[in-house]
Amino acid sequence: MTAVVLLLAFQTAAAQDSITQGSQVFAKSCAVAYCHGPSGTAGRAPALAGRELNRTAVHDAIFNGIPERGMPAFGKTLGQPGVETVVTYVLSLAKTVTTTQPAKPSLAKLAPELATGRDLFFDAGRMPSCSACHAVNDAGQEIGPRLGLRPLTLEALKAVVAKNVQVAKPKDEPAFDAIVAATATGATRVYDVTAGLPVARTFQAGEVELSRSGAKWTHASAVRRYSDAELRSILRWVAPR
Amino acid sequence: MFVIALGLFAAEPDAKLAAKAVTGDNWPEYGGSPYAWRFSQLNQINTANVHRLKPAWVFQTGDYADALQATPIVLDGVMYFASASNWVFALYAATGKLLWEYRYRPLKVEPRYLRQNRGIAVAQGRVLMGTADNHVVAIDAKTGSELWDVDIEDARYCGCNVTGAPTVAGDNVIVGVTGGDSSHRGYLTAFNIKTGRLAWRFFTIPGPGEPGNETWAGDSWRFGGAPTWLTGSYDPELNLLYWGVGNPAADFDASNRAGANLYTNCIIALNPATGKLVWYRQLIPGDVWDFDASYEIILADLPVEGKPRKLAIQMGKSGFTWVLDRTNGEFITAWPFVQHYNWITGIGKKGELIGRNEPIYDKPKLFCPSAMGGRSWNHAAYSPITNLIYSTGMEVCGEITAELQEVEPGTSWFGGRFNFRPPPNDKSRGFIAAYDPVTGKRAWVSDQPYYMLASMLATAGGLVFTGDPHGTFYAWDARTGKTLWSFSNGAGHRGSPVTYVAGGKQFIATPTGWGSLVGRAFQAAWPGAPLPRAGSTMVAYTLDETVK
Repeated sequence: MTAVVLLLAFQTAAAQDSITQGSQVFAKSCAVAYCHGPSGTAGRAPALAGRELNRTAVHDAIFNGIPERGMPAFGKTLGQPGVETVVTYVLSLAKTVTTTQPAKPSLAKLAPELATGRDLFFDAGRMPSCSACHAVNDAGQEIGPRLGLRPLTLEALKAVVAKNVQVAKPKDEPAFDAIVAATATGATRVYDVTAGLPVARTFQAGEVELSRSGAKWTHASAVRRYSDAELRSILRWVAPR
Repeated sequence: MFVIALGLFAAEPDAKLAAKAVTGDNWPEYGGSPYAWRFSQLNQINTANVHRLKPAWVFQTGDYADALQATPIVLDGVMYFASASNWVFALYAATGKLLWEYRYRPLKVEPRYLRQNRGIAVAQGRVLMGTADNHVVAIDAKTGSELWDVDIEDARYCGCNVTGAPTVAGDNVIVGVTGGDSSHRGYLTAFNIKTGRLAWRFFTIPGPGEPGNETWAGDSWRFGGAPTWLTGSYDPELNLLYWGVGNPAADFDASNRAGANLYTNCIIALNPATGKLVWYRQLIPGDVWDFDASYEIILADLPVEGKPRKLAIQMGKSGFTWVLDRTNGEFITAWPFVQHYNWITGIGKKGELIGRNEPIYDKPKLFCPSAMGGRSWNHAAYSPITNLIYSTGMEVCGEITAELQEVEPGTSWFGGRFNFRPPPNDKSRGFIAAYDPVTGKRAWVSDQPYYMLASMLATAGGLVFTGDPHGTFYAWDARTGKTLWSFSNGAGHRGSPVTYVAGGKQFIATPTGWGSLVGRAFQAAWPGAPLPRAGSTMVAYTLDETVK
């Protein structure tokens, strides 16, 4: 009996020690400027105090970081025991703690050869880049078809003919080649494709006329901004995996 | 109507320039005028009657996503401004009643650099605004309907967005981009105001083969920062667009980017029609303190050692003010405006930094000023009557620990950690002060318990205005620094006050509502102090006719 009591007392003391230790690590590394704030109450990062927190999610966030949101990984610097003490402290701030396992998003870093293709796809030095008119998964602008759903060869890419280009003639401006985004009673929205970045133009009723013939813009003129080697690299990244 | 005679300007500043640089009935541009003086010639409200200033109207935007950091634009009795989530409001400036409201579409991803919109431009009948998801839009100023919208660069890839007001020069609107704390190569982009068509893009980091690319080790130029997140100034006579460029990424870890890192921490001068670089002056080579050179650039013609000079003046984040010749970027002088600084011991006659003191890896070191700076981005004002620059400032230090950090494009990249600490043998505190723009001689100072994060406004009524974090908005005597009037707005000030005439009366207007990146660091610098209050409200004041 005594042994059990002593064990319980030890565990409680250990838990208390963890919270104190964890709070010290937290104060040094997590509460810092622009991050979670003193006692997790405020800062640029989400407030931690007074919320429902999931043990696994908190552990993973601290150990692996959340790269795309700016949360650093502390697994290497704190080690598993160190992370555990911080987890204990953070959970002590919570209103409720859940322990079910949430789905983990992939945090894998891209292989270098795929990273090259991705960076070319979004290259801000190319006006336009592929991403100016195409979306892949969550990123890019969807003016043309969404990519990454079907495999594409270099030959097929170069042979693409954009069939939906029209000529837009606004009332007080010269005509320009455009891809129609939406027409409704009262407003017409078209993408002007004649400059380095597509411009979404909104016209009220009667302010613009659209005609299907006479457009000169070609998809090939955009593709030509990249070399064949660059296009191959992009296609490797875009290819469905 | 309320104009003062030009002869009342102090003898030294150039009167012809002053006539173009001051505002009158309108507040037509972000900095008042393209010279960024934030000074109005209106004097109906002045030192003799400001005690009668009272609220005339209040407008609540309803957008509480973050602070109201706007500088409102006022043209012909209509006030235009945007809130944190890129909602744009046109109000009747005399009454605060809504003329129209525009709401940009809801964000798909919360921006890394937060929803911080500091201002808009109004030109050719269009309201021009950069958005939290890195677009630029033009809105019909009469009706509030969207005219054009351009995706500047994919926000999810770049981790960047637009927080600063665009600058108008000729037919172009020029938009900056955030960065410096993330892996991204910065730029300025110009668009035709009428059609939205791309006019040019100037990368603030030169590419391979371009002069200056050799100041970046290896391929660190590809994601090296150099953001342009505030607003430029413009000299229409010289036809030069001036912009302040921010720090290299990673902020505190320079191990992969050995070199001066051009054009980070530079003031650059571009041709606004072509985007070609005319000159640059790097203020801080190889920045490892996150000190930038992003802040506003005041353009004034003043005598230096007896000779008239065309100046570009920047009160920097680093606690020093730089004074350059704006025709060619020549370094003229620099002067400190904070008491506590230890990142250098001084600046030499050619602008060279003396006594560089840098962060070290894996061990905290105390630096003054902190990564919040000797002042934040909120703007100074220059008065040609007193020939003084008025600015807020702070005495706050902080420990920086540099760390090696690998990173993906568009992701957070500080290269270390930082906190805030009081200066040695002192308390963390703020101040408002008035300085000679060339010599830096301080004319007066008003000590404050905390930093002040709202811009200054100076008027020919002999007044300067700004608001504090705990909701009080003040008028000071511009010559003496004596507090002449205050009003409790109930929410912290993080934007820019303006003045204008509407319905035959002079108004002072200020945004209120706390937040922002540096605003949220309040508790880290002053733990235990009462929290500044959030909100998102424009308040306008006029003179009470019933009181004598």
